Amino acid sequence: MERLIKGDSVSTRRKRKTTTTTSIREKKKKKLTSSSSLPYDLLVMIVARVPRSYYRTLSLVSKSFRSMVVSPELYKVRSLLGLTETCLYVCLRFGFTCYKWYTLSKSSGGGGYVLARVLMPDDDDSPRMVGLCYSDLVAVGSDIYNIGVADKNKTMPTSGVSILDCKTHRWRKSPRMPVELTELSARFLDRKIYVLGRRFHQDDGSWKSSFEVFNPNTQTWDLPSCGGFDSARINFLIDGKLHVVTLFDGVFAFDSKQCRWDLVEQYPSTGTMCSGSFCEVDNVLYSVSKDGALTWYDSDSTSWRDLNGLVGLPKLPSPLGSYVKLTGYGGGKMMVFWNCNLGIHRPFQRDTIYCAEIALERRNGDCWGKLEWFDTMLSVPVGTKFVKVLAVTL
Amino acid sequence: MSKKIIFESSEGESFEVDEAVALECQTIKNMIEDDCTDGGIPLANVNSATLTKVIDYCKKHVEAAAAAEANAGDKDIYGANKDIELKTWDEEFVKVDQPLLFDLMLAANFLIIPGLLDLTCKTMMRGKTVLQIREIFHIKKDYTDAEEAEVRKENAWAFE
Repeated sequence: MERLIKGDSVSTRRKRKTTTTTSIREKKKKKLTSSSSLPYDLLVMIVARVPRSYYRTLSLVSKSFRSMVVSPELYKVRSLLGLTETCLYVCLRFGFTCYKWYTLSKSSGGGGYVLARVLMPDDDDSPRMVGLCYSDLVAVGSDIYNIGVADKNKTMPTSGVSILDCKTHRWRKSPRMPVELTELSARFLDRKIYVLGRRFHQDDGSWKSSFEVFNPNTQTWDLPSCGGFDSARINFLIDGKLHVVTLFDGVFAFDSKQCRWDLVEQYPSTGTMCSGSFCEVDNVLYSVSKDGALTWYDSDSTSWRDLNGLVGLPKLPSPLGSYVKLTGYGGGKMMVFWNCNLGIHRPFQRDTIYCAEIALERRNGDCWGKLEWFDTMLSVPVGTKFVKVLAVTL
Repeated sequence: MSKKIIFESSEGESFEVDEAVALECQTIKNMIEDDCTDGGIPLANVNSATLTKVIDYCKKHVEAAAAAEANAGDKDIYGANKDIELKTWDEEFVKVDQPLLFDLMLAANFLIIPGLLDLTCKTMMRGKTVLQIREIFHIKKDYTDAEEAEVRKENAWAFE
């Protein structure tokens, strides 16, 4: 395996100089032809080059194929060969407590996509609604962190963290947060997960803020000295920097070197405050305006501007509430998911989930979008909500 | 006049190639550096048909690299035309029957020719059905019918 990987990478020079004629002659004794069965390592090399959307089909070949397509070795080879793909995971909430996961896969015919259901053995570590609070989900490589997951049969606040391994679709536990939170928002930046949140103290009826940072490599939590904000609402990235929108004071940017928060915009203002529907693609923050248009944040003029050149995209629902979700999809692309029926909910009424693929381009200080594709994805009961759409690399 | 290296196929047939071409194979490169190529290199697990193809591949890639270097200052702004031509050539190159493709992959793995290994690995499963894959890799179906149905069910697109 070692040799195969090295041999396949570009940096073969100076490696294996010690190969001697004896080792070659030894190998020669084993005559390999198409009639003999293939070494497992070589099979892994072949499967690593097959797009991941075909792995479901490949698992039908045999039991060993089925375990290979979820094996760590395979994903290691894919990552060494630079063959990792961006996969979108969509978490939907049906009713109040039922969560279902889907992945976006290429449809078998044509250039479109389908949402394929992801089945998981146990859903205890999936996000659950506890009171009015939510945990937050963050993608880190091939894992999805569920931060603030409620413990079974327990109510808020919570410090639980669990990880969904998207290779195997199994949940595992991760170290708990040092401080329990009632409400939180998490982002992944520079190999760390930044969690801003607050906790309600019943004894004096006050909110206490907390800022907690997790390092997935060392699996350790840290509490930066600068602390968080009592009224923190949401955090996001602008120009690759962590920003937080607070309820009363304004927008702050985190200076990780100095470990301090800098006020970048004071209320009342033109409003860096964006809705719950946003995503970052190539260091640009995109969102949906109140009237359902795609916008981007121009940090030079500190204002939201409409995306240029977008033709053919239906009007998106209001970003208030979780009826529209944006996410980066690699290669300068953005995927937009939205519900369509937002009218009065009647029993047994159905709703439709749509998805659109938009190619983004930064040109002359402006942002342009081109609608590449859009279609219906799923028919769902009215009231189904997007919990989160996450871009995982596999 | 460049130095020549002699390969000997499993059938005992000799193939003379430029050293530059032989250097495309990491395994041979190591041998040349260790100075143990005198009297030819016997390749007992590579047959003549496969070796001919392997040499073709290495020749083409050495030529392409030389041409790219010569024209380095003369590229279009994308610098990609040559790559496209070589890619097309590669694609044509692997349009061979399955046994030969298989042998080419094994040879590329044994001789350590990263580009050819990548190319053959990529091509190996393209457009194949589950049944064909079992056939190519000599894999016996080890699912019972019930188990296979279970895997199919698991993999079925589930729409709500």
